[in-house]
Amino acid sequence: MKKLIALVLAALLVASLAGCTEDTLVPTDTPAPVDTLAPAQIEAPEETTPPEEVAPNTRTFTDSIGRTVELPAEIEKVAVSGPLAQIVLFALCPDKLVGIASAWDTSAEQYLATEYYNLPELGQLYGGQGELNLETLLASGAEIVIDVGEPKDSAVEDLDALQEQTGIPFVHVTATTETMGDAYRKLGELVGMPDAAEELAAYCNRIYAQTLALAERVEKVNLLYCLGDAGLNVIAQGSYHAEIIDLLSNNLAVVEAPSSKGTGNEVDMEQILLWNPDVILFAPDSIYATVGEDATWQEVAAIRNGTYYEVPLGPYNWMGFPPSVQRYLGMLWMAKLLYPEAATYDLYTEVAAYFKLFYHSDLTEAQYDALVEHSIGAAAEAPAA
Amino acid sequence: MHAPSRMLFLLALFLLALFLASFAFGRYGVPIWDVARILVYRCAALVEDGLSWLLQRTVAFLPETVPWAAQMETVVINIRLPRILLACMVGCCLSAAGASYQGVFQNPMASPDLLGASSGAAFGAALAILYGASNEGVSLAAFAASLITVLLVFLLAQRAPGHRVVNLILGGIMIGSLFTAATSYVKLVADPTNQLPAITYWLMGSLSGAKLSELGFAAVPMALGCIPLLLIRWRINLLTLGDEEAQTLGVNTNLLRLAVILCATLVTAASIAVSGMIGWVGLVIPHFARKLVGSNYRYLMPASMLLGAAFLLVVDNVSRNLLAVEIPIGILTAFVGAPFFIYLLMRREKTL
Repeated sequence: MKKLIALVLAALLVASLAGCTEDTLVPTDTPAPVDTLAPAQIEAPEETTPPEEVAPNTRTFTDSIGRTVELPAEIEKVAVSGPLAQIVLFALCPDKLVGIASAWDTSAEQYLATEYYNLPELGQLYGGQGELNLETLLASGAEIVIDVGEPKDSAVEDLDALQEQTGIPFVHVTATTETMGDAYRKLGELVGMPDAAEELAAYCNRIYAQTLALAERVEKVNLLYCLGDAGLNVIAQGSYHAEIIDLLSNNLAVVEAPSSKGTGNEVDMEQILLWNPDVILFAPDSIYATVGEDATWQEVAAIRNGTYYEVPLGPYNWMGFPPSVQRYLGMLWMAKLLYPEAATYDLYTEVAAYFKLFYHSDLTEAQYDALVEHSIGAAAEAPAA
Repeated sequence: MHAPSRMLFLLALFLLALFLASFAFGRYGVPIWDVARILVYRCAALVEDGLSWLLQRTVAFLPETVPWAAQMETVVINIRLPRILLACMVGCCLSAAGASYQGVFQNPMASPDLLGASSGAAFGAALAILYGASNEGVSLAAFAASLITVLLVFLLAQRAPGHRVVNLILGGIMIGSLFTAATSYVKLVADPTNQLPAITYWLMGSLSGAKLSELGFAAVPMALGCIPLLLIRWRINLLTLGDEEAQTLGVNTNLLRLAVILCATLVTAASIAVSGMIGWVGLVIPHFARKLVGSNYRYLMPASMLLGAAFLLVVDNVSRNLLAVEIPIGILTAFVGAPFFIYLLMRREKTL
């Protein structure tokens, strides 16, 4: 009996010690500008009244879901609620981010500056709770947590509760492909960077308007977007992920219940033969590399004619998985690929401009060529006629 | 003192020490001295408020300004305190429920989800997330769905001919798998960017959302279940004798079994509703407690409760400290629980 207790105690002790050592490790984990905050507060115990009362320079801000929050006049440290907010805010204020919600894809390493690529991972929120460790958040010194995207039904309560618990303002800014420009202006106001935000907003509006105009005047191609290990999943017309596909092509995949999942709707080979698309886009991990040798797929017009392409991946899937601002990149690419006569721009120039604006990276021509190696046809590759 | 009583006393002391020590761990560095001062200050503030209320005038014996950063108080009181309390409550309840089920069904493999309580809760929570409910809504839905599932199982077992206990177990397996399938369907149709990760995360179990307001919500059904279980604990011994023997001793076994199952289900549902699916605690901790105090439920029940609370508190301390991001606690309990169960399996001695 006694031995057992000793064993239990020892085990528990080891577990607690593990907690202890981790605890002491914290300062080395967190980036330098962050942990200077905590010691400063410890050394200056007199300044302990809540900052709202000491600093008169606060302001109120009404977010997209009607919540009015009090913010510091100048915001220097921003945390994000999830990957969507991460992509959007990284474009606007990479130097203000105290961390990112989810780690970058390894392919991002070659494009991003090292300090951005190595931003600490804070985890993401799923509604009211999640991987985001609230103490890590407080330790990071974040002055605001920003959520971007379409609001959940419970967003008001969730954000209010988190704000009350942590004492840090939580703000939601609604953004869709259509309203991204306005979202950027609002974010610019929020973090005090109106000029940079205006540039991004103008870019988003311009690309969207240009793509809409192009979609009006071309004859749309019969197309399928296939994904999955066997290439037998399609993104169906009307689904959440089909936004660009439906806009820029005649998406043949019409199913009764379009799935809103990223994996799309599963169909069988016969259905694909029946649809017989003229162009197929394959997702990055699908069967693009092997499909040319498959006898059954040869029956499909797109494969037979060689008009099938792979969606570029880097640092995210260009077709907008996760569905964020890289959808504009998808629009540029898809329009150029399908309608090279109508899309008179040079794709490299446009993609490089996008990388500069949204990833703060100078895309070299070699990097570009590697990105679109399987992604552009001969017509699109040729300089605009 | 009697040996098992002494053991209970030691366990209680151990839990208390662990409870206090847990305040010192966290990713936000709060010096241990400040942690202690904040706790004392807040306790004193409670006394002050109480006095003000009693005397109906303002009583102020605490200093206006405090020598620590406001954020430290936020960390200790708003973030650590609710989590530590919740870990203790959930651990205590799951373990008590497990011990009860193991007694009622005379089965060492019985755990709180035996009658489908967790499959039902999972379905309720997934559905609530699908319809965009808030955190409280998800908890309520999980709690209600969990109770309804067990009720269904119970009605099924009542109607079916044959051995009641076997019917209950089979019914639990069937209804449970039905709800598991339903949960899979909800996951299939859920929106992958927001809802699906939320559901998946909920299913893994986590105490990260703990808030003091939520604790109040969970504490009522937990108390309603745990107190009766403690009061009738020695009678559970009679159930382990088997129905015939117990009946010859003048015990209404059906009523007793119903009461125990009802209480155990109530605390299980309340725990799962606030913490998500946390496996293994209910299965493993009662066995551990049995090793310490023996199989007499008079000691086994409180020992399970104390040990369950201590276990989950330790695991949650690891969960919130090991990495900068939260590790779902359901994953960690399984990592600790599975090896122990394998060990039990290999030893095969008196397990019940």
